[in-house]
Amino acid sequence: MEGIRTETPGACLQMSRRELLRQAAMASALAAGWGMVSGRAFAQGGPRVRPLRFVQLSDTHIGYQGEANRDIPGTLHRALDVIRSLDPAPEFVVVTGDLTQAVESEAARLERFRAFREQMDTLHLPVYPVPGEHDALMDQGQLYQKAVGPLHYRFERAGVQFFALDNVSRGFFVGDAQRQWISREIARADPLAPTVLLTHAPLYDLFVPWNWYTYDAKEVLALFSRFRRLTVLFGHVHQLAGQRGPSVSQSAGLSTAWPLPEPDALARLEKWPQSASDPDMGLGLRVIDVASSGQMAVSNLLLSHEKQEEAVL
Amino acid sequence: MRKMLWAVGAAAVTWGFLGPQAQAAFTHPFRFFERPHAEAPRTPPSVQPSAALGARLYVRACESCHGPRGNGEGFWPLPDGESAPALDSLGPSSQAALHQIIGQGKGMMPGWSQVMNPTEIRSLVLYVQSLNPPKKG
Repeated sequence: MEGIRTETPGACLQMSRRELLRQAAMASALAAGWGMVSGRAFAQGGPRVRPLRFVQLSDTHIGYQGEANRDIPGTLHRALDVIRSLDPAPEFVVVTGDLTQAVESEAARLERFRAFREQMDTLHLPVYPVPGEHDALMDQGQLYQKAVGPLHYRFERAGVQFFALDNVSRGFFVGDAQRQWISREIARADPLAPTVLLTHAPLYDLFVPWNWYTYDAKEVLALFSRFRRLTVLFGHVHQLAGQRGPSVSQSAGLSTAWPLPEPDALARLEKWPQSASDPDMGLGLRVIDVASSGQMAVSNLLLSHEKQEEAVL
Repeated sequence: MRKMLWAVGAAAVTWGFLGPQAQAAFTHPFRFFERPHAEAPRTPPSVQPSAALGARLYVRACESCHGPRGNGEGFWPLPDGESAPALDSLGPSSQAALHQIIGQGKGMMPGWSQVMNPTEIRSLVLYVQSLNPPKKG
């Protein structure tokens, strides 16, 4: 009978009380440690975001001469004064297209880009522009690249990822080549971090007859489908407009040049003559405050009455 | 105890090497399975080019500039203030160049081959040709 073990089943799992207490303490410590690490890293669903303030300017149309705005440089100057007076000061400015008014002559266009840059330099802040169709459609963005910079690029600030996209220089679409660039950049980006797409035209069908859309917007947004907090800041429509979806929020900034009518009937898009009594009507800029939670609060500052309209994206 | 510390250290190093995409797969496993679904081509290759398909594409891609009747009276003024060319009175040479112009663009005219497949480009050509019926006599 020597060969027969008489231990009860499960005896190998038995442990002394001291051993049990030690292992329980170890497990508790590990669980608490994981809780601290994951709480810090993932409580906000991604890497740490530092509170950040930046400004969105749009559709400045430097060089325009006409009844829609009889003092384009003056209006931009007032908008820049508002930016200078902000407290706390913004860290940088994004400009969502149509920096200049289109004109046939290359020399005149270069001069307009130079005038825009000269005005923006007075802020002493980094400026991140994207092209509008007035800047880039006439020559597929060749002069814009010489005078301003790349048509699309990516940067990061305070834990927030920015993709500056071009959806105008070859037509109102992003196109195959740029979508491939986006795919490559996304592979190196963090899908948990707050992510902002800067475009000129909206990435949805706001009003197709006025080219207030991007032909391949669905394909572009599909590339970002794993990104948790996606915001699109666009210009082009010269008014407050937007769309909030389950995973992406899109929002237009105010122009400093002229307001445009709301899309309605199938009529040709026309500008209004500038009001004599209220020349800044419908013009302005916006301030975006990113909280450490990644939430973005938008203040739309209207130049006319220094009125403020606020929203959360 | 020492083994456990080594295991924790190795796990931390591995976590660091994983990178943001793979980390997201662990921390949000259900989102990981939401594969980015590339949009299916709008028109399957099996579909034959047709003026009817071209008419549908025209509304979305061309009407804003060239107008609903193709006569250049669009809803959106070009950046230089000019109107887009009328498409209902094209000469024979312009009709022959349609495929090239629609696909590759010219001046402010977009090159639609960046977002449309050959079937769609050919359909647009057929639709624009249908706006220019052969003259009788």
